[in-house]
Amino acid sequence: MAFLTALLLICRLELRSLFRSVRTWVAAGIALLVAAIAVLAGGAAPAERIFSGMSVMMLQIIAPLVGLVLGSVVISEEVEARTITFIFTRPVHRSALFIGRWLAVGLLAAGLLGGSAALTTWGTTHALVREPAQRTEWVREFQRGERWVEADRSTHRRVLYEVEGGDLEREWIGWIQPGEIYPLQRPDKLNRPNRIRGLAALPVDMTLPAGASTAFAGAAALAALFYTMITAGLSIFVKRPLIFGLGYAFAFEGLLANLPGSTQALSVQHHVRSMLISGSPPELFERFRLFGEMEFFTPGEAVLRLLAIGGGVLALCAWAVQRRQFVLTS
Amino acid sequence: MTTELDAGTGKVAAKQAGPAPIIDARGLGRWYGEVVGLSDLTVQVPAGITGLVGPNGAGKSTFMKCVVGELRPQRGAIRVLGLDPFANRHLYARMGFCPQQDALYDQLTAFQFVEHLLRIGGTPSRAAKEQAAQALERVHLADAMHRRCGTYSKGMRQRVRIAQAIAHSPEMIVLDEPLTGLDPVARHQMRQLFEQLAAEGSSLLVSSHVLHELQGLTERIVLIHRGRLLAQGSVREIRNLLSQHPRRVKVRAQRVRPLALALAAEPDVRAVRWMDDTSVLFETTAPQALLERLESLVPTTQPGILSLEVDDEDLEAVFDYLVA
Repeated sequence: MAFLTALLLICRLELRSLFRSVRTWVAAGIALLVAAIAVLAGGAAPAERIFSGMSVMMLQIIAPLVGLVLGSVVISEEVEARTITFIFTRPVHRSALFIGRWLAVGLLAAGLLGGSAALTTWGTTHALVREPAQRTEWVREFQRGERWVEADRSTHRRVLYEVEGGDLEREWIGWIQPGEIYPLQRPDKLNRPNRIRGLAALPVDMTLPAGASTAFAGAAALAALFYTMITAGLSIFVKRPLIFGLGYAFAFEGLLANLPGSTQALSVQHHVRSMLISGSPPELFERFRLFGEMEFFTPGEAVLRLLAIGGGVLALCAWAVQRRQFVLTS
Repeated sequence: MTTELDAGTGKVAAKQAGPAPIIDARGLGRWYGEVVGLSDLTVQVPAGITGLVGPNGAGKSTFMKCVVGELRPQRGAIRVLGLDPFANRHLYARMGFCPQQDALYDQLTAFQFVEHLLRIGGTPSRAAKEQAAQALERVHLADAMHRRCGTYSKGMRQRVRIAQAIAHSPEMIVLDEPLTGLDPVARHQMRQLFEQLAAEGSSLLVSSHVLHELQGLTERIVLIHRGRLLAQGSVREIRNLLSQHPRRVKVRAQRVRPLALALAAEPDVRAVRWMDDTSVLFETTAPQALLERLESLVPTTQPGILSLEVDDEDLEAVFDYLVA
């Protein structure tokens, strides 16, 4: 009980002091990068498309970075600043110090990344900076001589025409207002009149499937907790935990998590991806072909496995920090 | 406590009598790769103020780190207040440590820093605030305690480190070079503080490589060199126990030769060295007896003495002698 009380007190004190740290604000900046991109890009494409891209970027790049940067606060920053003597000569169990401090940075990182994920979701479903993009839709065939509408490039409305057998996505000729139709007749290369059909510019879909945003925020928060644990734990055993952590997250995990097979289960990345992808509608991440070849855990399974691994790692770190000597150089 | 000469090493060693020592180190060994930090250091430190002296690299900081449980000796054993110090939270409730390294949380004010450390140690919020303020007042930082540590001078930073070591009123305080970086006024203030703390019942282990800093603060010193105990006791005790080691008496006189010839026959005189026509240096294990004999010879030899110099007993001289 005394251990738990000490742990929670240290966590609370550490959280308070974290807000005074430059490192926290750097981490916040990195965490909010994805949200900022999402807000800027919101409306430029269907929400699903931006969301899937941003969420994968968050879990693969931003979450490890934020976790690693904040995780080094637990021990390594104190060793580098040679202030660890002050906290390690306090009448409190070193394990409580370690776990309490890790919990503080983990919660902060989880809050930053979870918050950023929520903001990202919101950004993708709201077009704040721009008007929502239009998607074109065939409305009907037009007769020769039917009403023409002048194109207006400034409004960014696209109008397409189709040459029989042509590529809808590429063959466009101008701009129209939403709801307007733009018939056109143009001869093809053989100088034959084409069949013309009309297009209407309609707003893109700005909604996300149910469950996707929750899965994303949960995966981001859990990733934060685990990546902070990696640097915090590494700092007990090595002198440059951030470098080792970056190597682990981007080289080792980057390879392991992207190679289809059972070895994926050895990476944190695979687990948090499982939370995101299995917790979202299947079509959301269809465009990532690599994911299609992988087998993911169910969200519940991923969480349970991570908690079990995390508990083991935390216990090992708590044991090691109690025994480790931190030799400070003058 | 008494001191005695170790027959095996020829060095002065400590012998403990009375109450149990607050620090009991036996055969401590600690290396940093190939660099020796401590080598077979055996020392017992009693309650009160004890000065730990030795040249740079002697092993003072390594010994202190072992005392505060920051390092674990690779050989030997150490008990502090009867406890194994390594990562021992029970000991830390009774001990304060002022490390040598100039490191603070620069983004915090001195008050926040000391209060934060007290809170980590489990002191309730209100008490932590009171104790932090009191400690900072004791180190004469009351006026500046709400300024960020990053804006402090070196001396002020040193005082913050001392404040955090004394804030929880520990019964034992370990101070690694605590007077470094302080101006003469601040040094005087801190020496007064150390004396007050000792008077209040705290035991202090204070290290310094500037020996005169400790002289006056404490008579009891522990001399270490190259990771080994060189001597322990009061300066006078150590000096007296160096009976097998000669002290030097330099005599300058107008007619020094007959005097030298007469004194050379004295049983305690180990060597006579001619410095020049008017100076001679005697090495004797009984300087007082030599001086008395010299006095008795003056009427008969009429040497015309110009000056007499006996190597002094201050800490610096002892230290130089032992280390050399």
